[in-house]
Amino acid sequence: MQENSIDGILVQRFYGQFDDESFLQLLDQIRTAAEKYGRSFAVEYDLSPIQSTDFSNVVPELLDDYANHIAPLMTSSAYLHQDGRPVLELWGFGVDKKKLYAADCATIFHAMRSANPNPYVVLGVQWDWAFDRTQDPDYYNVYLQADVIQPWAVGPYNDPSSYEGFYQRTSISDKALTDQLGIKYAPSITPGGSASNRAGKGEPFGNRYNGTFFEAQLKHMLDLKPFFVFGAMFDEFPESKSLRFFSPSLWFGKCGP
Amino acid sequence: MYLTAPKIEAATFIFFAGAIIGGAAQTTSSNAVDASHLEGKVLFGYQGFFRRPGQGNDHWMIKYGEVPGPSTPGDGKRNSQASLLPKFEATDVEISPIRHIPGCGAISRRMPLHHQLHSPRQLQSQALRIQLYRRGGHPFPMDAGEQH
Repeated sequence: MQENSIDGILVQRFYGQFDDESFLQLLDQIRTAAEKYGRSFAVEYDLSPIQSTDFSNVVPELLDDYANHIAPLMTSSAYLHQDGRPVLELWGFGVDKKKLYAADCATIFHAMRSANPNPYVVLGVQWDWAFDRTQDPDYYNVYLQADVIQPWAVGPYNDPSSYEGFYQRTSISDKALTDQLGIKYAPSITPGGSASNRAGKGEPFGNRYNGTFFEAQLKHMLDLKPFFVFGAMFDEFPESKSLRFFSPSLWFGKCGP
Repeated sequence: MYLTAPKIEAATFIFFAGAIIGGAAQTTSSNAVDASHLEGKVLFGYQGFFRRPGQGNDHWMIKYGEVPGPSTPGDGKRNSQASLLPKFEATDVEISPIRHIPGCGAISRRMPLHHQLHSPRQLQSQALRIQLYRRGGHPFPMDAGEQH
């Protein structure tokens, strides 16, 4: 990452796997290596495994993990902060509404938002989150309390052509809406992928189009000037979405405003 | 780990912009990243593959060299990621010409082809590559903790 000038990572910590000792070791390794090599990192709770039908222990488990495993990492000089607060992403609100209900999203959000240390919250939501303004206001009202909204854009488009339509219809309006709401906007972009490498899934669900797909997204994001960009993912090899080789080895800082 | 990823063949380079966006990103290839702010950064999602090389790698992936088996209903994310075949990324590389984004200078863009593994035969071939890779004694790209 240092050699390729990658800023850093958001480490996905899946709910339901908090007792995995090897991942705790990994977090320590990330901290050590990030400090050594001058990279940055923050934790992203992936809440997609949570089911509202079995919710009673969710918040206590999250708070316990946050206090005992994540908060100590936040003292690292390499841990990402914003406005003096450690960055924490909560991913999965509104992504599967049949599994995680709006009321439980609100409960999680408020519990984590008031946790110690008080985090700067990036909220990972579904790509069509803005429709919830009218379709699912209970979810939308939770989104409004985030510091940053990060719509998950892996899925609604799968080639350069469909991305163009998505950008024109969705990304531009998302940026305008978040500006209006006073919330930061951090889009996710994807290099494409393939299901061919997944067990039992023989059909490709996307193509990387020799990089032109990713390039198209990148160009548009430069125009939008979002708060930050989330590349999905650094190491998701099974879905062929790895960005490990997409290193920003050449910079064009003069593209800034 | 990822920070010590071996330099892939010269062909595996790339492009990209980071600090571009908000204009606040001040990272350079040699300087430490300022972790005090998010603005302007390009951050990659990280899932932690290869964190236990040679020690129960079947947590997130099949044992090296195995061909992916059928999905297990209900096993979700973990199982879907159980068919990890990493080596092909370093061998199937597409080379693109130097390109230009207006106003942003030249970008050397070379990307791996991930989307061409469709047949069981290809999958087996990739699995074999992994076996060979392992036998060669090379570290996996993300063998982080092992080296630090």
